[in-house]
Amino acid sequence: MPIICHVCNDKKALLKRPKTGHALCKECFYWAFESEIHHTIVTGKLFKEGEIVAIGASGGKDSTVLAHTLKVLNERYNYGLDLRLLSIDEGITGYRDDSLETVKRNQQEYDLPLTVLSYETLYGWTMDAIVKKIGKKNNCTFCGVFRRQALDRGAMMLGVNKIATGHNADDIAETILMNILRGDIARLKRCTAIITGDDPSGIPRVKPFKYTYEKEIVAYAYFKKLDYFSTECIYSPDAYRGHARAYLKDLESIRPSTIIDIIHSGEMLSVCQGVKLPSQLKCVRCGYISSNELCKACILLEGLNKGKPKLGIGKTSKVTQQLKLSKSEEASCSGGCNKIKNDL
Amino acid sequence: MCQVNGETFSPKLEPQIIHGKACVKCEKDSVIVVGTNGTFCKDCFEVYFSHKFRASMGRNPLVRHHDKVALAYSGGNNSSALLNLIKKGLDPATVKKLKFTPGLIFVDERILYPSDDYEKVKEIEEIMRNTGFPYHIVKLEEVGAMCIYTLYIGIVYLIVNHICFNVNVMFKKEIPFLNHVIFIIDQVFSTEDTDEKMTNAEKLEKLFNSITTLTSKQETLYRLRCYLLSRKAKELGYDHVFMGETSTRLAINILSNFSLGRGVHLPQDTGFSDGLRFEGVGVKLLRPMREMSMKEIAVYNALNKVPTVFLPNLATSQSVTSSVQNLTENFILGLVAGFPSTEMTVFRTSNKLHGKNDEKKSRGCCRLCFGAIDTECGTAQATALRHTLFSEAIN
Ligand SMILES: [Zn+2]
Ligand SMILES: [Zn+2]
Ligand SMILES: [Zn+2]
Ligand SMILES: [Zn+2]
Repeated sequence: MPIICHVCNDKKALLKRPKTGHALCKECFYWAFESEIHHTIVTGKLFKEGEIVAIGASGGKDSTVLAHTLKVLNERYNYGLDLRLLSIDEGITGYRDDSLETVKRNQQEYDLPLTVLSYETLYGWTMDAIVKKIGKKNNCTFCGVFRRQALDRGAMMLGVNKIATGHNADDIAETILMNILRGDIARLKRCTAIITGDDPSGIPRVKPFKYTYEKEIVAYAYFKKLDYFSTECIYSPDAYRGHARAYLKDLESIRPSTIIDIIHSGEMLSVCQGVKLPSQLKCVRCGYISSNELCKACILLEGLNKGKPKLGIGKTSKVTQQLKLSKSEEASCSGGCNKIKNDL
Repeated sequence: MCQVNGETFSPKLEPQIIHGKACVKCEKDSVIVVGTNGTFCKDCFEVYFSHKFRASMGRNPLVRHHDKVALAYSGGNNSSALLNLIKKGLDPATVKKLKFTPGLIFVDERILYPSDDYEKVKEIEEIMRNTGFPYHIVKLEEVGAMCIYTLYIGIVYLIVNHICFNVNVMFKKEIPFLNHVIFIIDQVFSTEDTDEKMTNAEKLEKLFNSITTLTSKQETLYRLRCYLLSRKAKELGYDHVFMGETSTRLAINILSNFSLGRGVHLPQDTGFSDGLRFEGVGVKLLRPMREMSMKEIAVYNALNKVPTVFLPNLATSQSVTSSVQNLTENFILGLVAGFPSTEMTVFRTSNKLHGKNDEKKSRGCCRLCFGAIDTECGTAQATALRHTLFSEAIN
């Protein structure tokens, strides 16, 4: 006997919702999925009417479903948003080439303007070239840091008001766990925020999928037959994040609500008074918001260009010292005594 | 769960004696390696260990002179080490004698396990008697006499199978679906009222049989044990309870708490003191061992030939993926093996956090676990709780 949809009590149920465990028909699942995201957008006050919003589009499932849903909701509820697609080409052969094709097809289907920016244009290095230099061990540090900035730089070029990213509940729960394990209080505080960008000059990022389970995004894309590129990045995550990810997957299989429970836990905590948080500065080299004199991307670039690619992967304070040191060494070589004084 | 689970892993831990390395304090040879804190000789390790205990008490001056303190003794590694430290600290020959009066409380949980470990409990009683301190054996089922809390909590677990956060979600009456749950609870309550003749043991058995997952069983046992210890200690005239929880155990509890949606309870569950949790009901639970690692405890016990007794617990011979707590324990111990600093990092992270509506204040506390309430969702913003309520409402 077929199971009847829990919501409409009429049609045949096609799937069991990972989040609630209820059996739903296709239409009711779409309705529930979209309504929840609309609810998040409204209660979280993610957008204002008339805003230009860049959707970080990678061609993967999250950003493809995000582009689709935002377009649908924007029309259905008259958000009055000007939506754009923004893609970053990291320069990873066999990964980006194909996924960019997907983004281009999406652009045509959703009729949204697309901008593609490459790492090569932005930083002078492709990911392939970086991996050749540093090996496969720490490349995710590079990819992540560069990607984050690349979106901001691209968004600035497009003159947008907000960046919407496809970070889903699983991503956020994983990041919370990572930050507890690494003891990164500042990031722990930031990663539970639904809108980030405390600096007035920074472009706020919003996460409409903050409470959306990855499994539901996959199901939505599957039933809607959305065109997305499903290969994982060929440069796999570092071991530590890998552990955290595996732990989260196991947790979810024991208790599906764990994902939202972890986010809830994060939201209910705040940092004690008297705990020092890194102050927000602006990178002296590129102007990007940073907790140090030099932003992470500039440190990584410095390492790459100087042939010390491991620079910036460890503790940042040490690196800054090292950089200062090498700067003053250079200065003394060229005989500029004044410069040394300035650096010290 | 506090000490209970840790036991499973303790037999594997032997102090590592390495030759040819020098003690960080006195540079003598032949030393013991403890975690990330370097190497010690036997004497310096003793000093270091008891100093950690005293320093922790000094930083949190809750125990006053002549206070009566009940040690929650389980026979396991952690509480056995603590007992040994206290015995030494009260020795007239000690330079700085401890100023409180100790006693021991052992919670007998055998009702939950099929095997009858009569001999082992006798062993534990023998150890307690030999200390010369007053000691008390309290049966877990006594909690059944204290309130209908046990049955209540069990029914809620049965229905929703969720912990605090979700349980409280279920009490929001404005959602039609939830009235159903409240109805079921009321029904069970009324049957229970007519069932006055049920013994405490039967009540407890009914409770645990009604809980469907090991995660919830372990969580319930932990909460019941804490409640029982706090309340019983008060009845017996003690001012505080000492728990044996180490930084390793707390790192596991921190992550488990996070995963169970209990982030708001981190300060109460993993701090030096459990705050106002049992105010008016019982005494405070204190954690003087929270800066020692499992490994340090094992070294200390081996050096001092501290007797321990292993009793089975809910986690015994269960698979790693059988509960959130077991999985987390396995995860943390695995990480600590590869990245030894993880445990202290997690522990320190938690020390820097506090709940948004921490102590009880005017808000009252959770009727199930006596913890701070974390289910007040303002209408001003998007929260996980609000989202969950919305999801429940539209389905
Ligand atoms: Zn339906
Ligand atoms: Zn920079
Ligand atoms: Zn020494
Ligand atoms: Zn509770």
